[in-house]
Amino acid sequence: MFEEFFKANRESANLARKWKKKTGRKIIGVMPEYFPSEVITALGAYPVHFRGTQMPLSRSDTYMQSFSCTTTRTILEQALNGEMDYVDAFVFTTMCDNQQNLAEVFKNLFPDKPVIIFLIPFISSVTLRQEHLKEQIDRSISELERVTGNKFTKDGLKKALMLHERLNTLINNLYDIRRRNPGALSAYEFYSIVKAGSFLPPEEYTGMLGPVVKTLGSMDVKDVADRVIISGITPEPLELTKAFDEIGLHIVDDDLTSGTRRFSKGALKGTDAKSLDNFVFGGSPCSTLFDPSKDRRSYLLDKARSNRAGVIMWQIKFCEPEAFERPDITSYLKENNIPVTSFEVELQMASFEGIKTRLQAFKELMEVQI
Amino acid sequence: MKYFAGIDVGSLTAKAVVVDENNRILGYHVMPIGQDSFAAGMSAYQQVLNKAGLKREDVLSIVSTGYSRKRFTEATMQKTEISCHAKGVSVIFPGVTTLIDVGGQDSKAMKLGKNGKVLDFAMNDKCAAGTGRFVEVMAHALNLSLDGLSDAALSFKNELSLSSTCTVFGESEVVSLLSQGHTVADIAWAIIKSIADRIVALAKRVGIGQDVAMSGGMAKNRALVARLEDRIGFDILVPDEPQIIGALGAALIAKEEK
Repeated sequence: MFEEFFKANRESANLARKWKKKTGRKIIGVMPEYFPSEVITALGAYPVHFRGTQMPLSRSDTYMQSFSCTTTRTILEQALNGEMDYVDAFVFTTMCDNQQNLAEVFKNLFPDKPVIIFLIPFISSVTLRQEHLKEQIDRSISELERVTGNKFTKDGLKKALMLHERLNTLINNLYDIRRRNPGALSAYEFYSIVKAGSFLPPEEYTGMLGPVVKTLGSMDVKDVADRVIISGITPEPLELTKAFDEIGLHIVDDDLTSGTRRFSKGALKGTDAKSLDNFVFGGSPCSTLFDPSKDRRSYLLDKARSNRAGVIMWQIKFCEPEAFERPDITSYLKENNIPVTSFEVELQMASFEGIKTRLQAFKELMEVQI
Repeated sequence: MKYFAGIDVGSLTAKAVVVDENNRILGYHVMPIGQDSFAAGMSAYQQVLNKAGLKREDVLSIVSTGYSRKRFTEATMQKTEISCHAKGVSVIFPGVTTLIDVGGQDSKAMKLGKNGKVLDFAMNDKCAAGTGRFVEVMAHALNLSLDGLSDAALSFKNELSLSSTCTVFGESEVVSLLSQGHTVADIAWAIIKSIADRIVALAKRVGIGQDVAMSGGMAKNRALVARLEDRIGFDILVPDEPQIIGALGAALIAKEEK
């Protein structure tokens, strides 16, 4: 049932090349996170999302410091190795300093590929924030029109919004199924399904998701112990999710920028200022967004209590936004008697033995605490 | 009488302990891992059975722990060294609230509740800083044994500091200090201070209580224990055989789970 999704992740570049040839559509490389893919679809192009790979680093270290996160360094490595040759233009957001720098590196190294930067504002005025986002999307759309050669039309947008709404609903259904029935699929299967959406055309991916969600939704519910929520940016390297399955820790929900933070707020509703603001800032609290009205600590506390789960902070090494928040969140959850632990990974790691010991120790700790 | 075994297959040594149903230790054995962790675990197990005068069929249950715990397929159950060290130390020193375990390739700090219940834990990152490996590499750079480094450190005269906690850079720094004419004793003390500071920082992550114990091979290093006591402001309880605490805890868990 999941092989198509595994294959999409294994052969992402070849798959994108195949789809490009088949459909003749331009491909826009989308860097993490918060750019509305809906506008790319509306322009008749196909968004491919990059969140790093497990490949060893060699060439990227010439251009990026060793204290940059391996998400950005492995993305650059992919590009330098020709694995993004099929991409016609790149869209970057300014969710962190590393990614902002990466956009400049791409501009210098790949001058023949347009780099579009979607600036996410760090301001407390909601009105100014919304005006800024509107200006950003209008400029991004103009640049994407030049890349795709297509006009951005109301009709095109309407169709794209419907497609992405359907996709988003299916992903949220998948999350609901896991919350209700965590034993329905393994962590590796779940995150393989979610990740595959990064590389497939939205209509293709939606078509694959529908039957899987239906089958999983009809499975008998089995309650499980040793329940955890993972929190961070993205569950990479994906192989590490297998350690959870091996140890018997059940991920019942997440607080990930590439997961719940992205999907729980719904798809883009339009390109007006308020819709854009809701798309970027309307989700659960995120370490990369400045929004004083939200408290990630209490959000995670509620999530842990309602799911009867411990919390595991999945930290990608040198991810500053997450590193700044982690100590405070950890202390807060401990004060409220929620078991919490964290580990730090680099995407190109091949051995997870140390992390497995931490995860198993956390399971043993939860067994006597919960 | 019923018997239970705990096998701790760590990164550098394999430890085996057999206890009876009254928690009495009937024997223990410690040996280097070499290249085959399963063989080392089995050998340590056989040796401890010989010492205790038991046969394999006499042992009701075996728990394995340590980094190669999954490779020891004879075990009835596997537990992490965190749970096992906590359980082991709670029998030797009831009432301990903080346990520091510094092994060959990792270090851990645990906050303990009643009966060795783990309330919180912290582990070092994947590099060797703050572990026994760090001290081993530095001792080698000074042409000393591990005991020799401890003895030398306790006779230091002048305070020096290592600026790097990285094992590779630290070794270069030791060579550099030697070339500047500093004494081996002063450099040895600087090495001990460096690792002790890392361990204290780790222990602070779980909170340091007044009743502190230490386990693992590095607990045998008197200079390290002295420096840690100085830094945290409390005496540290050290078992007679700190290396076998994980295996002892594993044997006790084997008994409880049965």
